[in-house]
Amino acid sequence: MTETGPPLPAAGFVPAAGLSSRMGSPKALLPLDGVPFLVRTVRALRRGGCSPVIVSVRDPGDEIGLLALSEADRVVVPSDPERGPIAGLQAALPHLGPDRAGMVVLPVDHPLVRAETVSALLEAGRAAPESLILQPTCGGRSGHPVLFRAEVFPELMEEDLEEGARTVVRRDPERVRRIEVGDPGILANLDTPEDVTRHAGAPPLTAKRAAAAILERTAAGDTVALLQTLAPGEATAAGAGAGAGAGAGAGRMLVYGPGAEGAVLGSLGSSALDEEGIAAAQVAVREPAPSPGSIGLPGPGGKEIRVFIEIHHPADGMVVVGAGHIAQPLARMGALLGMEVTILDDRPEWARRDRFPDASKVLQVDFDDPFRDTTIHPRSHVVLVTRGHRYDYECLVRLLRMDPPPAYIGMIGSRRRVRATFAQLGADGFGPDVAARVWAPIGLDIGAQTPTEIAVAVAGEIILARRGGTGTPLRDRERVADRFMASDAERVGSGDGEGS
Amino acid sequence: MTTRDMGARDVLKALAGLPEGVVGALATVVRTTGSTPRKAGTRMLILTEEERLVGTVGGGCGEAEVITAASEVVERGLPLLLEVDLTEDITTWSPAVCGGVMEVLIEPLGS
Repeated sequence: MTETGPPLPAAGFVPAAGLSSRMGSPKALLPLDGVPFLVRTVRALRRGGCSPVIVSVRDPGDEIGLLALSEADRVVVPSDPERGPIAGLQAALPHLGPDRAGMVVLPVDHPLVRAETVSALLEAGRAAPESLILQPTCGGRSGHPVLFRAEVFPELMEEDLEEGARTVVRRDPERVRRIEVGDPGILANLDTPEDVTRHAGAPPLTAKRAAAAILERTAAGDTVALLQTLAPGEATAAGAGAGAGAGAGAGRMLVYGPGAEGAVLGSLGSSALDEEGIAAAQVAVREPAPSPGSIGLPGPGGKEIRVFIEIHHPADGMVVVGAGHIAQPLARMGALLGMEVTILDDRPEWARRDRFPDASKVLQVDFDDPFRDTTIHPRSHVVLVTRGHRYDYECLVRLLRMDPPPAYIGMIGSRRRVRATFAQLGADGFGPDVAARVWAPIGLDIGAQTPTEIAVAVAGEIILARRGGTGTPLRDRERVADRFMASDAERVGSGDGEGS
Repeated sequence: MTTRDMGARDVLKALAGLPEGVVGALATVVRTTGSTPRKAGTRMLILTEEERLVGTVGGGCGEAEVITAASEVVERGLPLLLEVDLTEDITTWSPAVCGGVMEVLIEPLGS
């Protein structure tokens, strides 16, 4: 995440000139959640950073050809499509442009590949210039798309490639680099009608399916935008025409990925409206605190369509390092606050599942590397309450070096100990601005004494850090009694209209 | 914790965990103006057959209106956009009187 630099400048290519005898109908046109395979693959390449995106078709005048012309930057027609996808690839290569350092090839029967997988390949390609062929893996299994560097283009142009591009990939394993992307879509070639029924024939994106997907994606660290049309009557009419995607009720769509970068589930009812929705989602996620509400999107015929939009961020997390007496009530409070709670300790007899029934995870860790199996993200709230101050300090230094930083770092300790910690931070080269990010001594000043009371003080401080309050009793801040129960004379003087 | 006292994520969890074929509706506050008890994005499940609510859109008369409309939605099988006016009588000592208007999308489960 800290590495910078432009991704590899690469073109994208979708071979769609095949006849697809196995499907009984051209698979490029098959809809998945209302969007044809061809459109999904072209968009995955484009959103992943490929330009131009080229499609090979058999006939630019047929339905596939016309769809390709409307979606792709360039359409090529191989003279001998019977030779398979390689014929289209060889027709596409001369049209890349001289500055293209590579080409990403995504078969049209892989409509589930995510745009972030494409961008991960381009990023890896930039970082490892010695790898001439990059192939994504999911759980160790290789899939599509494959990134070919310009250095192997001459080989791809050879005439007698028995198995097409695969022959070039297999020629020298030394130059092939495999990138684990965690995207099962790279393995899902939907080749038979049964495959498609399994993926596309599933019911449309119901409220229940959407809720499950939101929970799953946010727990995995993605940001998810939910969009839903707010003209149920009209959406029903549109849905009838749009088929599987729109469903019987309001149009509903999820856009997800880090920064909602464009993987899509469901449909608002038409491909054009979906594009508008995706663009709106990507604007909304960049706002610091987007509140759910309704927006207007340009619909068919210039008519505005009202759409509800809601951003779901990665789930808030509470990570408690040290499984002692404060951790127990704190874990319960974290769960009550809707956080995914993780408990870490190096002592197996303390880091026990049964001591923390509300925690999502209880891990026994080595304090040399306590966060090895725990993702600390910008919505993590980390509480350091280990048995030894030395451990707290080691964890603290690790947390302060994280980029991006967690939302909250709190550390327990007396004033004297905290002072010593800050002195040590200074000696270790951390500035006062870094030390100011540490909530120590931990907790709000509510006179807490018992472990449970201290946990309340800590939980209160986490809410304050999250929501931006002051920690002052509202009675003292608002002074309602002082202001509105004053004598008649004073009330005349101060006027009214302050209530809100 | 009662099933009414829930955060946004808890209602989503309840929704995702519903067995197939449960009869009911999902209410989502999609827009508010003025002062309302719950903000846009608040959800409530109305499980009409079990006569059970999960989450809340603010209680009181406004919520009662949503629950009544939900029965209609379940019966007709079509979603509905309902405007709930909470601006009635400000002097009433009812927790539901807040002075705002909220728009609620009510959709049958399974759609």
